[in-house]
Amino acid sequence: MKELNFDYKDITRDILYLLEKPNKAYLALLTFTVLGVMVGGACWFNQLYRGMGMAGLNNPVGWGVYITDFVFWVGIGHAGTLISAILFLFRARWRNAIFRSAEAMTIFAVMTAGLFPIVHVGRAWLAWWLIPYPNQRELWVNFRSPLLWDVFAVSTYFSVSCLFFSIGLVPDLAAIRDKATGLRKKVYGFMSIGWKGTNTQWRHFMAGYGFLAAFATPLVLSVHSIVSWDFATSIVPGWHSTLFAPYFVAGAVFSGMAMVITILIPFRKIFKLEKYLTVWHFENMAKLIILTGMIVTYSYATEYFIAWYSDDPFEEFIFWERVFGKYSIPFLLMFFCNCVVPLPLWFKKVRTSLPALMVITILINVGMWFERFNIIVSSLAQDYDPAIWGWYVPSLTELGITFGSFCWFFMWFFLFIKFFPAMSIAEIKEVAEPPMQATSSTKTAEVEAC
Amino acid sequence: MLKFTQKKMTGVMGVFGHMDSLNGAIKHLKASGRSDMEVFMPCPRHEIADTLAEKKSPVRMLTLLGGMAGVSTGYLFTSFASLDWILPTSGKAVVSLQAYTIPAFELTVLFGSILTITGMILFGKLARPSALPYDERFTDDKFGIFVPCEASEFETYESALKENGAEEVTRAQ
Repeated sequence: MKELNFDYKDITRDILYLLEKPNKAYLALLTFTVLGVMVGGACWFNQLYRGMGMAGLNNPVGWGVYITDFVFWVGIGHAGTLISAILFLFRARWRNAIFRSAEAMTIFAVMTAGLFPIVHVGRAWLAWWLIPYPNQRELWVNFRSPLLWDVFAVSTYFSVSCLFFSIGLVPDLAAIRDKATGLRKKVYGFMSIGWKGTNTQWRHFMAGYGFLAAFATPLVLSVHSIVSWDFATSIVPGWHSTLFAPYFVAGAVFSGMAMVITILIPFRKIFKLEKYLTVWHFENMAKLIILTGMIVTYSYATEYFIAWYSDDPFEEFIFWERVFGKYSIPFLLMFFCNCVVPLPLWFKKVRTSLPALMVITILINVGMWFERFNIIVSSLAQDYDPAIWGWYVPSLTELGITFGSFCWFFMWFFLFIKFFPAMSIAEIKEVAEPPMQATSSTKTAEVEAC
Repeated sequence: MLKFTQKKMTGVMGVFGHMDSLNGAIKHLKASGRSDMEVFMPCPRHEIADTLAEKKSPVRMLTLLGGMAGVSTGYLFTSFASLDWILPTSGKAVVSLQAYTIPAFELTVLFGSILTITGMILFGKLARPSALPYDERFTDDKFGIFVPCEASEFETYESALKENGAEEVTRAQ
């Protein structure tokens, strides 16, 4: 790729420039996110202090915005692993400039998702009962429960993503160490665990990295499948379907990829990284959005087909109600943002227009949040017995915590880009043309001839 | 009491600005019977790995070990916990191996990943003091070769590296 022919020295300099002293715009954004986290924290404290009544949850809708947020954030994390692991195994060269940011996003998204079960259980100080450990009550958790599978899946996903991310950072931390001075040199020197870039180190590093990618690939597919089984193993109408696992995984990659684009477009502009994050990168991500968007649309259609073909009145009713009932607005938002909005991406002109991509990806994320809300709430609000039907509206506390979760996610991302290289120095060099004597001799000869 | 002593390495270090020169120097050294040199690179390059013709990394053995430990722990732990505290759920088997496949899979990945990283650190000789000479430009835009040798061989390897395009040659003694 012609676009990737950079000088090694320029790559180091340009990426380390990201770690320079922050400007006012950055500090303003960081302050905004910290304040947002404080708003979310205050809402949560309010719920802890006054009780779960502060959330809109009640019979029959026991799962609402918190579980919607949980599923949404786990999904956002998927694109990072897809880009860093699956595209690594496919040797997709366009991943090298974007995988680090996407991987960091995965970690912060899973950190955000992990907060919601704790918020949702109400008595947060007992959330650790989910962990299987020997205790004086001689009790063990129920390993047959999909909720416990979730504990294993999400905690493993978080741990493996952190390991994958941290070990991948080591060569770049060494590059920072070698350019830094004073305390900074000591800190990055400690974190780079003695990396010198020898052939022995690279040999074991690349072998191990490949195995980690091979582990992360089924893991990423399993995590959202397992999250989907929280719903699919129950007998609630609209949930009890074998379609859920692939449907959720495609939706997760769809929303995650949209979030990566939403973040990288302003990031590229603010830090003047047009040279490294080219339109080609965004176009490739847009293609993945088209693919996963089509799978999501197909899954929506299949759900309706299954409901009709099953001849089950409860199943038929719930799908009818989603479109024409009390929760039709979330449904229509979901349908419009996830099925209609991505369609212009079939045109190259739209795929290569960054403002258009920005608008489309923001709308996709809105749509994906409402998809989860639609699945979770509408099914619980009107299941088998009309006598217990209910109407759920998110409370201000829930909305405040949701707002806080977005700020929490972005706060970590803003901190990350100032302390760690947001693009991989070593991997961009890997796809760049290496300095060659033959090439430089030709260039010198050409200059002399001129 | 354990003491971490590092025997100081003596040898010749060559700094290269071009990858093809480095590759040529490696070929030259290998032809003269040296295969114990250390090559420094800012990023992994398959051209260099091909010339070095190194053995496969043993990290994979630790990955396999971790994966096997994980899958065994996953099934054994869940089965033990279910038998220790019997929790009948809608007539399902007390030890439900199908359901336990999920924790077993997750632990396979977790243990496998942990041991893979352990292998990368152990075999890559990371997180320990190193006596290998180093130049800070190796993480930027320069390549390097360190040839361990006695003081009497310094001149031989210095001229070999210079002839093959080394921009700088220094002695480590």
